[in-house]
Amino acid sequence: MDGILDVAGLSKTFTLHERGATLCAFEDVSFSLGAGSFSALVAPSGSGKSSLLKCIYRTYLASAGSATFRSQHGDVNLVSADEHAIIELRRREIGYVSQFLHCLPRQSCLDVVARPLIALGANRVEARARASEMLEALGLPAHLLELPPATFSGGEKQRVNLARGLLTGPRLLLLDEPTASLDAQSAERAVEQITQARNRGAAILAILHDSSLVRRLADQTIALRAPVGARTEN
Amino acid sequence: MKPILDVRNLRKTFGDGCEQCGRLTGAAAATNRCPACGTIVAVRGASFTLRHGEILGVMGESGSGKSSLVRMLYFDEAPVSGSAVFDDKGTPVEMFALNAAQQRRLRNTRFGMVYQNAHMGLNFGISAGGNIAERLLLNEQAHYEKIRERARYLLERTGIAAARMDESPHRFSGGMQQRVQIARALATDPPLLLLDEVTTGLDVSVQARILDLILELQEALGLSMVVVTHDMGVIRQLATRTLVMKNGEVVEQGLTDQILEDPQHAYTQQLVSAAL
Amino acid sequence: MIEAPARAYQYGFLDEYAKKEIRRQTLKAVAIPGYQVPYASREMPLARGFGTGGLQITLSLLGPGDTFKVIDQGADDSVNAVNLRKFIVEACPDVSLTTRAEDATIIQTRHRVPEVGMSPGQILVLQVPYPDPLVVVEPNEAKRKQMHGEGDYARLLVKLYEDLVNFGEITISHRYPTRIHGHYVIDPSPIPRHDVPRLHMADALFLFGAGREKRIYAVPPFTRAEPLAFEDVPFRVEHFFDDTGARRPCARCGSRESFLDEFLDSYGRKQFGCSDSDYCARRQESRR
Repeated sequence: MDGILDVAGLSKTFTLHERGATLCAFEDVSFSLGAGSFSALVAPSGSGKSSLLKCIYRTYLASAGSATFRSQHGDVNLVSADEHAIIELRRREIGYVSQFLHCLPRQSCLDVVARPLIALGANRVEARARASEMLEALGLPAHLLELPPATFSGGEKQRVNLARGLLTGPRLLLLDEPTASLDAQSAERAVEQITQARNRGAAILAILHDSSLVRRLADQTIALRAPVGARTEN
Repeated sequence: MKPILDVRNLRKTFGDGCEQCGRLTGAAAATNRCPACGTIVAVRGASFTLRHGEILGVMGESGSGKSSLVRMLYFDEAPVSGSAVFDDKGTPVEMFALNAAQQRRLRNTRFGMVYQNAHMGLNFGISAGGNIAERLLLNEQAHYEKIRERARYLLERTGIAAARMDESPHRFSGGMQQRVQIARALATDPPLLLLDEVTTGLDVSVQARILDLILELQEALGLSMVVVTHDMGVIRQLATRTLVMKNGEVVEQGLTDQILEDPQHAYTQQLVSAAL
Repeated sequence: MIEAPARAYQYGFLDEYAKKEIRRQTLKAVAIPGYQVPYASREMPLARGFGTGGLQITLSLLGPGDTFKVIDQGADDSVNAVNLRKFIVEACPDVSLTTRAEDATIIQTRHRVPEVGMSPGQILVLQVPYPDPLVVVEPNEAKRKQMHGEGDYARLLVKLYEDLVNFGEITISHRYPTRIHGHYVIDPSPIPRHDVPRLHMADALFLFGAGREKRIYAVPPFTRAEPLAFEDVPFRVEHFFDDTGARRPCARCGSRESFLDEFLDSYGRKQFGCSDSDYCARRQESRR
C-alpha cells in the first residue's frame, strides 16, 4: 500500500486570549493513510475529530506534530508548508467536505460545483457537464441545478458539497459527516461515489456517525480519545 | 512561480520619530502614536507577497494602517523605508527606486485602484466616460472613437448602461459610482488591482453585486488583487489569503479560512468573535 | 550734474539690468520651446493686464534702428494700441513706427497674428493673460509643473473629449492648447484658432510675455506647434460659412481668407469684416 499521508504526533491546542485559557482538541495523534484506502475516525463527540481533519486541511494550525503528504511533487508537511503550497494542494490533490456548505452566494449550484474544475483549466461547458453528471449521480433533483444553493435543504446542500469535493478527483479526501443529513437512499448514492473515488486510488479519511457504514467501508479505524491520544486499529 | 508583488518591511510614519517609537507603538502598545514624540507609525514594517491571479485580503479596523499600505503601493503616499518589487511581465521592478515620473507611469498603466470614496477615484466634474478616457489618454491613446468604444465596453462590462456614459458620476448611485471606478481602473488592462473598502457604505444588496463583479472580473481576467476591508464577509468571499493589521502592525497572516476559523492573535480572535 | 530732461529716464524705460534679465530669460525660453520661464516682472507705468508682460519683452529688445508695430485685437488704432505706441515713442526715441506688419522688426500684439504672416527675422511679442494651459484642469501649481515636466496633458485632452461629448465639437475658440516641439503645451494667448497654425514651422520668432503671472515663453522659428486634437477629430480653424455654406467675405475688402469680426453697419445690420485693420485697409486701397 502506497502511503499518501503520514500523521505523526499531531496535537491541537487552542489558545483563547480573551479568556486566558487553552483548550486541547486532541493530542499526539499518529496514523498513516494509504492510496485507495478508507479510514474512519471514530470517537465520541467533542473529542476533536473535526479539528483533526481541519488541521490536516490547514484550516486549523496544528500546535505540534506533522502531517506529511506525499504529493505528486514530493513530500509536504501540511502543518508548516507555505500557504501558497497549501492553496495549490487544495486545488489539485486534497479535497475536504464538511457538514456545512461554504460557497459563494448567488452562484448557481452547477457553477459552485464546476468552479474548482474550471480553476484547473477545464472549459466551462465541459466542467458544467461533469458537475451536472456528478450531482445527478448523487441524486440532486435536476431542477435545482441552476439555483443558488443558499435556499437548498440541508441534504441538498450536502450533496452539492460532496459533488464539489469529489469532482476534481483529489488524492486525499477528508470527509466530515458526508452523509449526516441524507436519507438512506441518498446516503447510499453518496457512499457509491465515495467508494468509486477510493477505487480510483484516493485515500479517504472520514468522520461517520453511522457505525454500520464504518464497518462496511473502513479499511482502518482511527480512534481519538482527547486529550491522551489516538489508537489505530486495523 | 514569481509573485507579482513582493513587499518587504514597508514602513510609513508621520512625524520625525524617535528611539522609542518601535517600543511604544504597535499592536502590543495598542496605539500607532508614539507617546514620547507624537509620531504616527501608520505602517510598521509590513511584508507580504501576492501571487499572480491571487486575491489577498487586508483586514483591520480604522487606523490599523491597511489603507496606508495600499496607498503606498499606488504611490499615493511614499514609504519611509522598505521595498516592493512588482513583476512587470517578467521584469522585476523595484517600485520605490523609480523616480516620480516612472512611478506615475507604472501606476497609470499597470495598476488600478478603487477607493472607498468615489470622489477620490473619480473626477466628478466630467462624465463617467471621460473618467475612463482620462486613463486611456494618459497612455497615449488619442483616437476619440476608439476611446469611446473602450469606455462603452468597460462600462457595460461593469454593469452600467452605455447610454449613461456621458452623464456625470454625480447622477449615479453609490454602487454605480464604484462600478465606474472599477471600469476606470480596468481601462488599461492592468494586472494588479488595489481595492480600498470598495463596498463600505453601500447597501447590502449593492455590496453583493459589486463583490460578484469583482470575483467575476478576477476569474475572467486573471487579475491579482489586494483587497482592503474591515468587513469579514468581504474577506471570506474574495480573499484566499488574509493579512490582519492592528495599530500599523501586521499581527497575523495566513489562509483566509484559517484566519477566520483558527485565529492565532488575540486581536484577530476578538475581531472574529465580534463578527460571528 | 543733472541730466537733460529729455533723458529723464532710461532708454527703453527699464534699467539695463532689468532688460538684460528679461533677455536672458527670453533666450532660455527660446532654448526650451514652450517652457514657461519665470522672470522678475517689473512694475510698469500701466496696469497689469494691459500688456505689461509683452511690453517688458518689447522694451528689452527694441533699440535704435528698429521698426515697431502694435496690434490690439487686429487693430492699430484702438486706445490701447495708441497708448502703447505713444509710450514707445517716449521710451525709445529712435525707433520708427509702422502699421505695415511686413516692415516691422518687432510687433507687439494682443490676440492676433498679422494676416500677412511673419517673415524671417521678425519677432512677434504676444501679450498673455494666463500663461499656463493646465490651470483649467489643475489648481495646484507644483502639480502643474510636474505635469509639464512629464508632458502629461491627458487632462487637457479629457477636456477636449468632454467638449466633443457635450457639443459634438471642440468649443475652444481662443487660447487653444498647442503642443510645442512635441513636448510642452502652451497657452498661445487669446489668439483665435485661425492664427494657431501660423505658429507651426514659422519663419519668425514668437515671444509670449505674461506680466502679472511673471512668465516668458517662446515658439522659435522652424518649431512644431501642434494644437491638441484626436487622431480622428483633427484641429479645425473657424470656418465663417454663411447659411448657404459659402465662405463669407469681408464686407469692406472682400477677403475670403482673413479672420472676421462681427460688426453692425450704420443701418444696424450684422456684417463681417477683417479683424486685421491694416490688412483690410490696404486691400481696400488697392481695389480702388
